[in-house]
Amino acid sequence: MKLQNLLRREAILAVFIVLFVICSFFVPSFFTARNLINILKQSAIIGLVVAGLTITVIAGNVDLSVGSVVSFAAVIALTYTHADLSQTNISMTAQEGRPLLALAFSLPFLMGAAVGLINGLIISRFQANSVIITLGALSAVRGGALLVAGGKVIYGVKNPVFAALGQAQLFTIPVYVFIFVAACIVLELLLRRTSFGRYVYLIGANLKAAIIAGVPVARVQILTFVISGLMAAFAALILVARLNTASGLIGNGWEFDAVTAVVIGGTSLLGGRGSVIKSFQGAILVTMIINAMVLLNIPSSYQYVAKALIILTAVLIDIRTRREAA
Amino acid sequence: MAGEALLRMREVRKTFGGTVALSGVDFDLNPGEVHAIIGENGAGKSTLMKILCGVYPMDGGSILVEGEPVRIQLPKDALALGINMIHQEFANFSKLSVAENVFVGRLPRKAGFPLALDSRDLLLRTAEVLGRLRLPIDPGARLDSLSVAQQQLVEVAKALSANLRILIMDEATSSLNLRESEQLFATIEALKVEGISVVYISHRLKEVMDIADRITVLRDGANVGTFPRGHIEEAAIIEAMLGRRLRAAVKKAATRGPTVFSVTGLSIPGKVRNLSFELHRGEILGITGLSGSGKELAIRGLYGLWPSRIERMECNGEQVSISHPSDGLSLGITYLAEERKNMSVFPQLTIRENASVLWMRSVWRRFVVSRRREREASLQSLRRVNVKMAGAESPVDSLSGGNQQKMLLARLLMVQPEIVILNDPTRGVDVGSKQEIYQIIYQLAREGVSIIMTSSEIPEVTALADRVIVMSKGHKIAELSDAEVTTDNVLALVTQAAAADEHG
Ligand SMILES: Nc1ncnc2c1ncn2[C@@H]1O[C@H](COP(=O)(O)OP(=O)(O)OP(=O)(O)O)[C@@H](O)[C@H]1O
Ligand SMILES: [Mg+2]
Repeated sequence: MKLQNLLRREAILAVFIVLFVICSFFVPSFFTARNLINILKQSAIIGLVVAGLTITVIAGNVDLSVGSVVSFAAVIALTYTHADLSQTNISMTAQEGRPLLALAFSLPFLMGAAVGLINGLIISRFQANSVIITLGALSAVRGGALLVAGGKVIYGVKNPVFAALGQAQLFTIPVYVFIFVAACIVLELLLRRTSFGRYVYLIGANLKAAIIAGVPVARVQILTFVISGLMAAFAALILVARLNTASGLIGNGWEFDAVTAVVIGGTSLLGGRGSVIKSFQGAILVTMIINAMVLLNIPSSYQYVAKALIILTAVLIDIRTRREAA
Repeated sequence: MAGEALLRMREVRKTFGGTVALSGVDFDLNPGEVHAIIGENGAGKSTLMKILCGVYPMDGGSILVEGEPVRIQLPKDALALGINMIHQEFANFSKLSVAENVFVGRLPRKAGFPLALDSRDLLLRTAEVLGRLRLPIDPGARLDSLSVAQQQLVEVAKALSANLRILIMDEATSSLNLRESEQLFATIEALKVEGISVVYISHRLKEVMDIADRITVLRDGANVGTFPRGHIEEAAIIEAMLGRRLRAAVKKAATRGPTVFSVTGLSIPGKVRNLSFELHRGEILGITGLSGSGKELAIRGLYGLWPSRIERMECNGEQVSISHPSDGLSLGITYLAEERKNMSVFPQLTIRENASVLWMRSVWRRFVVSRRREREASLQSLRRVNVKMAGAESPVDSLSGGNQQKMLLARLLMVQPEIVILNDPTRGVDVGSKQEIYQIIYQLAREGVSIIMTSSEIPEVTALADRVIVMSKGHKIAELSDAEVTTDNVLALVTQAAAADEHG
């Protein structure tokens, strides 16, 4: 009885452990320090997006613009740490250095927050369907990214401080992995320990009742979108620093991967239930499965099919637990 | 009669975690019988019927239909046996027609064209079902054009349109007024005539005594007796239910402090015309009338939940306006909504998280919430209204219906309101707890809290209120106070107004 409850509550963790053991035995060079760190690296950056998105989803919405925000933020960041602006459409004769670095750090966040603010304002004002509104934002922001990048791929992070964000290591693990873990913990605390967090759950669980209970619905909803925008921008900074390149197409499809991780983590797409820590586990689980497939030389076309199967399974589990709760 | 039973449930047991919901219950149902189940909140009534409907699996026991053991594991097993349940908060398609709702999932097709809906046949067959129940409802009408009571009758028609042998009604009348309940009873009579058996769960003992052929009393998950109609008196039934005598709440003396709140000229186009009233400190003000009198909308409009025009609203001598519930809360006015599932309960969250919703607002500025303080404050409130629960950390869905209602009262009490608006405060609450809740409401008033209340039961309004506003067709037709506040007076006024309408 107890074990059953534990298994139900920690289902993803259990699946993770089982798959991990299987992969360790059967997938060549899976269980190596290098590969395990690789999995962490691969999940950490999109994991930041996942963590932010989780909060939006618990409030009963979804933010599909995150992938585009990643690319726009990446392009902006790289543009401003880049000495040679002639590659881009930005006409600015600034030099490499401090002010530019400050811009490189702050502009992406401002843009992410602004996109979230606009999404949130429209959705909360009209109680509009977030899928449609953020799908529009996805398109518009992607356009912005392509425009600024001038359709080109930009290379070369010249600034050492910025580069460190992607390259610095601690115990042979990249620093941004720790940043990711810390961000998850902070967001989880925000959800569990603050009135804002509680309101996120209340709005997701029963919007009408939340309004009657005087919950500041619009403010909370807007804030959830601002958070997902900010986290996408954060992910972009690290991505740029790590890859040393950016283009208007980077981050393409991340919204799908992020939503997959969130759903795998057991956060209900109908809202009211979920946790950042669970999404964190979901992100790592998905990365691990894809990683194993790569190691097994399974063509990437099948990886898409695998992702589809994963998301289907997760949704079925969601429906089942919901029925049991009813 | 032995051997004739349509349904026998034997030694049915069910536990949820550590809570024993049913400890070996026997229950029989004869063909064409109306069998009522009554009992305190949390006695196990809904659980027993949910087992019969395949919603929960049972932990032990057996079910026999016409003497044959049956296995009911899923709702579809129950439906196949002709067992159907009308939930109090049912799910329907409000934008579709009555006919489409009745035949949803089984819409008739044109012969030879499996995808083409035969709408003529659909309307005819719906009219036939509605006719069997003698319901004056237009099969083509959109469902949301009907009252809640009529929608419920459509649910009965829906059940009847399939193969139906046993119909279960779990607190079907808890939101219905007298006249609507009578319509439902007429429908039940029509079902009986067709040989359909009805299991009827209700906390309204008067109606149970009227319509049930037999009454089974559950207490703490056990059957404490099954009584044929006329063989037991109300007081004895209550004693069987509670295991003790009913302690009636002591009505508080009507007092009239200074005016704390007043509304002048509240209007909602086509629904409420020019309603004005004052509320005094420590007063219980009832607003009553038949459905369609505008009382519900007036209260919603007052709290910013329905578009309304108000000439002037004053709170503690200052002009104020409430365009949103949060404005009301800022003025110290809390609101118990009329619908539990849609407007009040947050499913998937714990009892504590549900209870502390309003309290959370008062600590919103502090941002970080002290878990210890939240726990203490919720527990204190939940205990005050005597919620029966395994623990405050259990999911709210684990509470029985009546205990959810009590939890909602605890939610209001957690913030020390100055004014409380109560819609149907004792909906779904057992007779014993009802008196406890009355006691709490009186106590609040004695402490100086002012209360505005309505109820689907007029006797409840007259029992509680110091002063009553009677409404009809959107108008205030009378205001009764002190000794004039009696059920007879209210009923007389309401029927007079209704009669005048018919003539004029
Ligand atoms: N899903 C559940 N999980 C845990 N406990 C439950 C669940 N459903 C019911 N219970 C518990 O089982 C007991 C019986 O509940 P039930 O809903 O059958 O009561 P009831 O007689 O219908 O009461 P009411 O008159 O308030 O509707 C209660 O103690 C309740 O808390
Ligand atoms: Mg019940």
